Amino acid sequence: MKDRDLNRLLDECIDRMNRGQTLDEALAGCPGEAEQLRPMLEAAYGLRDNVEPAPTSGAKMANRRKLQQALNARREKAESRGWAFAPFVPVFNRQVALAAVSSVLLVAVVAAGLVTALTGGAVINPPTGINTAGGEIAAFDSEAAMVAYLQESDELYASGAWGLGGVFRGGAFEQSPALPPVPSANDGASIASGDESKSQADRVSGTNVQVQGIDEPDIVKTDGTNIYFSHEDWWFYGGIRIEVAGTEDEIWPVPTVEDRSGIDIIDAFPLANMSVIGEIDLSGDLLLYGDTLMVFGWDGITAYDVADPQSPAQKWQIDIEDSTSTVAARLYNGKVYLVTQTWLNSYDPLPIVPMKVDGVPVEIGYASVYYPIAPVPADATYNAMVVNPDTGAIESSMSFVGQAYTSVVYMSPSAIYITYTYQENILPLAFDFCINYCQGLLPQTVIDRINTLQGYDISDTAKLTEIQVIIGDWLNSLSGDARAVAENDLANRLADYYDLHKRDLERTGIVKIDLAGFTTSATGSVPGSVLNQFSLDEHNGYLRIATTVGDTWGGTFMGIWWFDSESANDVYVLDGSLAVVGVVQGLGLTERIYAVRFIGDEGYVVTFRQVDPFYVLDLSDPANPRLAGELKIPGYSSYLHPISEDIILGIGQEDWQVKLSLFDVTDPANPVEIDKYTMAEYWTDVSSTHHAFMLDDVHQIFFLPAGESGYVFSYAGNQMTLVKAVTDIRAKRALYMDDYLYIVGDGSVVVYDEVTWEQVGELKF
Amino acid sequence: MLQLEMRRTQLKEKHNPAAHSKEDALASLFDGHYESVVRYIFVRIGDRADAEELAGDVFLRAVKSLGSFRGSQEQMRFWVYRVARNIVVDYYRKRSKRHTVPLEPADAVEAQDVEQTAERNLQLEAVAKALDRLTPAQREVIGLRFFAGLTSEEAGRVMGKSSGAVREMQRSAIEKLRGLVRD
Repeated sequence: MKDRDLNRLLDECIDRMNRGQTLDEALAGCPGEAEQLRPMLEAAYGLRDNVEPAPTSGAKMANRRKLQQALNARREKAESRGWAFAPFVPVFNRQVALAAVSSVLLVAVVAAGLVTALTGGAVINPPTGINTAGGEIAAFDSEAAMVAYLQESDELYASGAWGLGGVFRGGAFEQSPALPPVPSANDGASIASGDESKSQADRVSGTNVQVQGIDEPDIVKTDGTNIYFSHEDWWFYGGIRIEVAGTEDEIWPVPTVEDRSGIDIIDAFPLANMSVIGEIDLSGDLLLYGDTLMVFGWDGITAYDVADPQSPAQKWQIDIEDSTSTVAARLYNGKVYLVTQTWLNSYDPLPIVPMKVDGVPVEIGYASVYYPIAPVPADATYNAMVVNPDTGAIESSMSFVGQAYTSVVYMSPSAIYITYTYQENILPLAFDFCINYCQGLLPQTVIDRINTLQGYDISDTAKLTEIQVIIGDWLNSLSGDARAVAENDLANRLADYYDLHKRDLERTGIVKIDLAGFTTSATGSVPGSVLNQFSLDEHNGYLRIATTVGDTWGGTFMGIWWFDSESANDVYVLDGSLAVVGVVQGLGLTERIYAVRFIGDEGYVVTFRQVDPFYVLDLSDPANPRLAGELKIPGYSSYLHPISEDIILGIGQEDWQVKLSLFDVTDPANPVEIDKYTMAEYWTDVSSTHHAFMLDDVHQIFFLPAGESGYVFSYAGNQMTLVKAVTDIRAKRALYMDDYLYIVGDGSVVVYDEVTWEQVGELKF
Repeated sequence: MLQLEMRRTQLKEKHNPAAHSKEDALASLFDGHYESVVRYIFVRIGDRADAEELAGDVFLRAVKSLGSFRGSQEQMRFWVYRVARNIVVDYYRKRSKRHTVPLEPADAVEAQDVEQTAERNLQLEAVAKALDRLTPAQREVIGLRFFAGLTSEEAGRVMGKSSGAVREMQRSAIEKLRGLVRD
């Protein structure tokens, strides 16, 4: 037997034993060589079993905690940058400190009392009883008023009156909720062709954005001649595999830690001399306006004049202060719309200085800071600004206070909508729960004590604490068995009560800023929280917004656990003044929204827990929106893209594999999955940013990166066929210029002729 | 609070079999592979306490580089070992002289029978000596294959070698061990 064969058999035996087989079982597969292999395996596993250190659980827990903190911090940063993945993490920083108190009540007793809870499970119209209050805002009239507001907010926050101390939101599969998702900004835009030699393509794709014509920052931009590609830092863990012809050997060039951050400027059209002609030593998302390339980096925005791409010259710079982070940016009609978030110091909030433009601090005074009249937990200001792309000058701005890291920004051609999610003051519901909902469970003496508490002239915080003390005293007075029963009953009632009031606990405030005049034209609020920018859409003057309510894992009340509140998903239709005029409630009970797409008079919502219901909503009558149809299939879609009037493409996952589905929605009452393609990949970046997706309707193809590779599918005839797979280039994006498809990867750019699908160009970095 | 946090994690896994983000993936990787990472480092450096500390660093460094990680959850697993590998390299770099700490028996403290413990220690000593006679690369292969449980292809990716080379190395490492332990 050749040595190499023995190596292979040994290897297979090790794999088997690593999967849990015994030595004898592993050797049973190769009886001829068992004698040779046995002593080797005995030596190796003898060694392992002898020295196996059992990590100490204390160290493991400490390391787990450190990891969690680092992940939380990273998520917060990512969210503030708009690249968030999962929103669930919530609660380490400030709430953790209050856990002792706040985890107790919070969840249990929810929200503001005014609201009639709407039962889930059904579609309810009209929206009678929906609380749309809480959204009104006003500007501060003095610094003192601002400080007072923030301190009240702080106190309520710290008291646990807000904030779901013991409640955790489930982790939704988030698409970049804040930053920038179907049409391209300049999809198929016609760029005037140049001279005879034609240095610019006529047909050029833009970034895949949510609203046609409103560009969103991304790592790749093109002007029809050059491609601007911002490499992200990456840490390369392998090499490109090279197989040695005629042998089974492969070479993996020794990889190193590489930092390939930086922007490459690639002369890409015409194709003949494709090459890197310029570089910028910065990385981030890009916006391109004429000859101005703006780089949205971690700590600032830097603009370059790229008229001469070989030597980009810096035009202006905005330094984002440490207290501030970018939430979203858009480019529309020659203006950059920027939304940032600045942490507030509640004792000394002014002046708010989110940034410096070319070294000059930008100050925001109290008079331009708005606040929700109903106090909300406010630890940050959201600042919306209009930035001149030529100079970096901030031409207009408005700010409002809200809770940090909860914002989603959606921009239509006429307005910017900024959302912030907040928890209502739970005190009224705490009283309601104890006094009205616990009749027969709590002894009357306890209820009376709590009732009396209502009239005391003490703070809400103190009242909440008192309620807990009163109930705690009662529980402590019970014998072991009776106490267990009481706790169990209390837990069940809490769960029921929470379920009834889930739409009152968590709400999303919406601030609408008209682009004309850049003033706040309306405010409003709806129950629940939003997934990402696709959760909002403006159509014919109406705003449609999809939210998930009651998405919690349960919580504690006096140390009693209760679980599994029933989440549900709603779609609200709001008029121009952000008053709710129509609603569809109770979609996907126990599930959470994974993807939303509003297209004209229709809305498509994907919720998920075990199967993927795909809902079709008829929104043609704003006052009477209705669930038109639904389809339940395995897996889920996390991005929806209309590929024709009646066909929606869903990109998501099923059984840990990337899944593509085509939904035919010709008959809204009966959506059908007409085609499905499961890829041998675990992950696609489209699931974290819609920018990674590209569609060329002329050639009826779409692109998505998955794993390390780039995939091009044809959807001609409403059937998905794999046209091209480009492997191992660490594919990121694709774009087209005329009939050339450029697949841009961290390793290289590969160009295909979209007619013949021959490779016609390649550029290696 | 911690308990509560863990409870949530369990629930989350129950409800969402698929990890939903790189952060989630890394957290669940920790939960599933922390011990293996400790063992891998342990075999490389021979000190349990240091190995545990470094394992913590591995995940923190992974968080820092998470933005640059592109790949599947499966790939993340050996990416983490790559991070671990680099951490070990740094560890040795920081120590001016490479000194090996004797391997300690995993449960020597719990072992009640003194005679048995002594015998075990002798055995371990032999093992430690044997490990010490391996080349760093052989030691690494042993670590990745037997302690971290990676496949030879994955181990190859971590080490920047072909899977054929890994198989070759593991064979020679095992043969050497066999000889040493037997002697």
